[in-house]
Amino acid sequence: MMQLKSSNLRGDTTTVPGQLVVAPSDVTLLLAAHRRGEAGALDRLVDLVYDDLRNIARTQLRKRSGRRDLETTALVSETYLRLIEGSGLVGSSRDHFLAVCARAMRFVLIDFARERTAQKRGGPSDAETLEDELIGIEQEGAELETVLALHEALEKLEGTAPRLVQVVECRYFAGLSLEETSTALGTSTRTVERDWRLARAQLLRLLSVGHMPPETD
Amino acid sequence: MNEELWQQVEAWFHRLTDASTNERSSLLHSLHLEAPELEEEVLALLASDQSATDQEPLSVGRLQGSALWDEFADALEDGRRRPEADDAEPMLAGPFRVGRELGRGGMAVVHLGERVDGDFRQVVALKRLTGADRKGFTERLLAERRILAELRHPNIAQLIDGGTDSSGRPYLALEYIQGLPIDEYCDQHKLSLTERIKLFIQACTAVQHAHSKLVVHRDLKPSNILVDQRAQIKLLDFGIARILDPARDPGLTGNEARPLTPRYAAPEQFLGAPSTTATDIYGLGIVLFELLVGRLPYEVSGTDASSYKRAVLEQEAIAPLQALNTLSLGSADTTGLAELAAGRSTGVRQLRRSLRGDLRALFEKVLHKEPDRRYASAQLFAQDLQRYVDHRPLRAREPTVSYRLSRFVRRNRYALVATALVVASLTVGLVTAVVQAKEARRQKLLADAERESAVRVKDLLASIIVGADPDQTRQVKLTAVEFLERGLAGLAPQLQEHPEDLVGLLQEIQVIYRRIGDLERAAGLAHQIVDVHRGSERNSGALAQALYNLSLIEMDRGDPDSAEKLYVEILELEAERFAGDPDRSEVPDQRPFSLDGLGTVNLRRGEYATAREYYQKAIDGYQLERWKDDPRIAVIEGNLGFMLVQQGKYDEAKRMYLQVVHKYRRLYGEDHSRVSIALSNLGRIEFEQANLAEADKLFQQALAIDIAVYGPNHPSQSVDLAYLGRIQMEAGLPTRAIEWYERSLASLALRALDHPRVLTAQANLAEALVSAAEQSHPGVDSAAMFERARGLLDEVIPLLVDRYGEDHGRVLSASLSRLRVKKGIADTDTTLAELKSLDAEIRRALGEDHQLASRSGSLLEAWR
Repeated sequence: MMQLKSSNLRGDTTTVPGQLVVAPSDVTLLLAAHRRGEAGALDRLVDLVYDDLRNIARTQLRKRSGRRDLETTALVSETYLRLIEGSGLVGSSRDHFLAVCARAMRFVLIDFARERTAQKRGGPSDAETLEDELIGIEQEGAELETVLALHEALEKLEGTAPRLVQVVECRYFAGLSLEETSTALGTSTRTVERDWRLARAQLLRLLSVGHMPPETD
Repeated sequence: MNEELWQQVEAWFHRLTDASTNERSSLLHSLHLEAPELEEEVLALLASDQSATDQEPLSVGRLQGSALWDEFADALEDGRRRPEADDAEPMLAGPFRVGRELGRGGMAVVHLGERVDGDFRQVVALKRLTGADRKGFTERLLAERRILAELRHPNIAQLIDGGTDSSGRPYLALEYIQGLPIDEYCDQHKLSLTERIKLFIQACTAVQHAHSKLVVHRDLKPSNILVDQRAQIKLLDFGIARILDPARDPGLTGNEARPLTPRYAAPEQFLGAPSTTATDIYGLGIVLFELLVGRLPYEVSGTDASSYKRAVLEQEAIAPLQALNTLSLGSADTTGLAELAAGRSTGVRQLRRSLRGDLRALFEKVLHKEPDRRYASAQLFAQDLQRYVDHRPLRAREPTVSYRLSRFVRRNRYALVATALVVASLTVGLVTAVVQAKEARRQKLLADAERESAVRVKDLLASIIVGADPDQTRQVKLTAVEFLERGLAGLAPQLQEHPEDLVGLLQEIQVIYRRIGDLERAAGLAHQIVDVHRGSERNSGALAQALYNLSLIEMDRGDPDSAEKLYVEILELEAERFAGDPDRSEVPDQRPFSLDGLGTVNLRRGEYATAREYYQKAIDGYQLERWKDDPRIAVIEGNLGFMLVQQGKYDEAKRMYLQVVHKYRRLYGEDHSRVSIALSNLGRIEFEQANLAEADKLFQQALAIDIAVYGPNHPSQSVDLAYLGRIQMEAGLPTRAIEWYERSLASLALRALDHPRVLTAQANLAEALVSAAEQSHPGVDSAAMFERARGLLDEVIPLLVDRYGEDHGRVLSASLSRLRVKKGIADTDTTLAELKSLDAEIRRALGEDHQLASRSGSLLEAWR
């Protein structure tokens, strides 16, 4: 399974906001390789889109009034449109690239969540003081853990039901509509709907255990 | 699972979820026959699908609103902004100054708080939401507040205050506890096994108290069980607790796909099944095991959640002694073991001896995989612990009634279809809850807990029934009742031999039957119970109580004559029982309630003077110190008030109701449904006396409480809302009335279309629309209002006729509205003639003096 280095997160300060890292031609080549079934092509693709996605997120933040306006859907859509522009991709290849962007969105967020978790674990605020134990509050960083657990559950699902994983990436991580998802995956909306329902049921089973922070004591 | 197998599972899942309810059961059957190897997986998926669709834990857009997303945006925007920056400003939360931070979590931050408004010093722990409010957190904090408000126990960290702080965020002020988690405390003080158990019993009583209020904690672990400086246990953090009462738990904390602490989680929590009181019992068991043995009763391979899950689901709990032995084997030297023993102020051999036998049986029971095989209550667990300390034989070794009942549940579990599975597990929880309530009564808590719990049980059942798909309702309802029925059948042999053992359980089931409206079965059981008590010699108190329960059913069945006979018998029995020493018996005196019953019998017969005498007698005769806090006396006072209203004695009734409001406020606090009902009754009196402003104020108060208790749009609000509408109608402001009536109708959304209240609400709304349309103010779309009124009336009039007959006031009133609509839309020559004949009809059916007659009369004049 693909693992993105978390250094991606910190190392991207050199890129100029608004400027694309990926050349559209790379996208075309890799997508073609992926469709031929070449191993690793998808990972490479997602890797490439990854930085652009973050980059474009910055630009969106700058253009808009603040963080409240940053939207998953808009971010994925813009990344998709800008990369697809001039790529020469047509038809289903073009559509399929949207699913790649959704996947990149997933990994951008997962890496961020990992980094945040590491900070929380190591931070001075976590010192085991008496006061920390005084009031049991919500599990520390439960939300971070939820997303990480979801990611792990998706990795498990990847082996048996890759299509379900794609649906979750499009729907949950990228916030795409039923119609957009069905276009990206080249299936009917009815199939997306059914897959989404099944994926949720299956993930909920896996998550009902997994989305807890491990006990540290 | 391999891909091929998964594809089959997938196909079955789609077939089943696409199928209609009827097809579903036959499909489940063929799944069982054709692909038994897939059955478990598919059923688990279906169950999970049920909760997924209920709760939308993975809903689209959820990420968008998450803290993670906000933090992500923050980090991108300006490197790394610390979330603490949000809380930097000095602040007041109610009367408390916000002090240093004590701790912080995903949802909330806890600060020290100090009271600044009074003469006395008070330090509290202030729990507030972190950062900006995100959807759901406020509600959860409020849910926690409601839960804590119910709990009052020396071993539970108490809610002191709650409200909104100076930045507009909600806060809770909690008892501030300086102490240590129980495990650290025990180790620090080198407490012996017995001392540990004695201390731990306090935690059981705290949990027991919560359970008696139908609150399940769901996250019991050492860090939530503190020991303060006076060696008192304090149970903390009801942040994910749940009320076993759907009417008051709007699904926020009822969420089953929720955080859990893997180290202490029960098997059913890992499986996503509903948490019940048994879940907490297990949690207590694990915590105690660790306190005594210094490790978990499982071999856990890692520290992640899935390792715990595997261990808990796949392994039987290891017996304490064995756990101790593997501990020493694992570490390959015995110094660890010696240290462990020394930490318990004992030697290794002595420690080994203590962990044998009784403790083994005790943990086997408390850590049982099946919730219904564990101790039936925290109190029973605590009693066995006390027996251990006292060297008396343990209950853990005897089969009990609930064990027998549980055996039935287990035997039949797999015979039930998938939907029934859900109902069954809920019902097990429900039986447990009822048993809890029974324990509560034994503890001589307010005897009213019984009635209270019965109401909740009814709500619980109602929610099972209502919560299902409308087309499944019949099936599920049947299943729930069938379940009780089979439970009884399973108990039949036991009942033959030792009826007195089962009388308590029969009583609880009888109450459930009564509450779900199966009066025949309830009466059957009640007679059985009475017979058991008549058979036994010396317990006339129990007999009186059983007779009283029977009388309630007779009243429900509309047979006041039979009830009256029972009341008379009770009065005789009790007069004899209390002839000597009035405080002798454990069973409370049933006389006030029998007198109340006689009052109600007479009220139904229209014998107001007699009814009033009985009520008065019930109140006067027993206004003793020990009844002071019994809410049932307030109920009787309420009845007297109602009777006074019937007699038109409004001022006396008002005084009575004010007294009732006052008593309920004292007993339950401001936000309680009973306060709301009493205020609403006062409002009706003011309305009858045409004190519109006062009535409006009272109904608004009642409504606000009801919303605080049940959330908006609850059916219990429909009457208050309707009165608020009527008040506006009386004041000549139909456009305002429309708003109230709309809300009244909305609150009834779950009721059947021909429910009398729904019909009334529709007719009311139509009348307000007509009146507003007739006033034809500028900016008011009269035509649309007439049109809407017409739609409502055309729908409602036939249903009203069906229910009440042609001549009923409601039908005539709706017909009058309908005629006004007709005139409003297109006035023709015939409308006046039609009004004339309707007016005559009204006068004939209702009499010349009726309010409606004067309305149609004045309308007639206007139209001429």
